[in-house]
Amino acid sequence: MPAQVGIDLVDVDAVRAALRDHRDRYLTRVYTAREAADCAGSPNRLAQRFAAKEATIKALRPGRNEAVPWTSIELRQRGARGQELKLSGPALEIARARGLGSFLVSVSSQAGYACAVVCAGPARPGAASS
Amino acid sequence: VNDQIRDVIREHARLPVDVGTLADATDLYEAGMTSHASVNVMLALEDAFDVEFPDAMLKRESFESIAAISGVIGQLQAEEAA
Repeated sequence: MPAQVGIDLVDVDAVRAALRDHRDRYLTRVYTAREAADCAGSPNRLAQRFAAKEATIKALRPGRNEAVPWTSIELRQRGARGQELKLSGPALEIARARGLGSFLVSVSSQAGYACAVVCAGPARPGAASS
Repeated sequence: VNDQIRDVIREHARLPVDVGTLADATDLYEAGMTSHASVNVMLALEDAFDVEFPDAMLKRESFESIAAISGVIGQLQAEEAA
C-alpha cells in the first residue's frame, strides 16, 4: 500500500467544554493515562492529541463498521520538540492489515485551534509501529 | 427515544443546522458533526440513557444518524437487560 496521509483540526474550546461537562469520563474514554498525565488538564495539549488521533484514523481509513477506540492511538512527546505515535489494539490491527507500520506525525496549535498531520507508510524493518 | 436523541444532538453536536430539520436517516457527519463533537454526543447519550458504549461500538456507523444511534442504544439496553 502506498503512503496515506491524514489531517485534523480541533477547536480547543470544544475540548475545554468537554472537560467541563464530562471531566474524568472524557479523559479516560479518549486519552491514555500517559496522555492525560502529559497534558495535565491543558485543553490545548489535549486538543493536539485528539487531532493526532483523528489524523491517524484518517490515514488508516477504517471502514464504517471498523471500531477504532481513541485510546488505541497515543501521541507521545519525543525529546524537546518532536512527537511520535504509538498504536495498539484495533488501530494497530487495522494498520497491520493495510501494511502500514511507519507513522510520522506533526502537531501545531494557534488561535484556538490544534492541528495534526499524520503520514503513514509501509512497515520498515526496525521501524516503531506499535 | 429519537426525540431524546435529538435533544442530545441539539445540545452537544454543535451542528450548523437546526436538528429539527434533519431526518432520522440524515448523515450527521455530512450535516457538520465533527469527530470531537461525536465524543460529546457519545458521553451525553450515556448519561441520558444510562448505557455505556463499549470500544467495539466506537465506529463511524454507530453515530452517523439518529436512526443508527437509536439502533445502538436499543441494542445496548437489550444487552444490559438480558
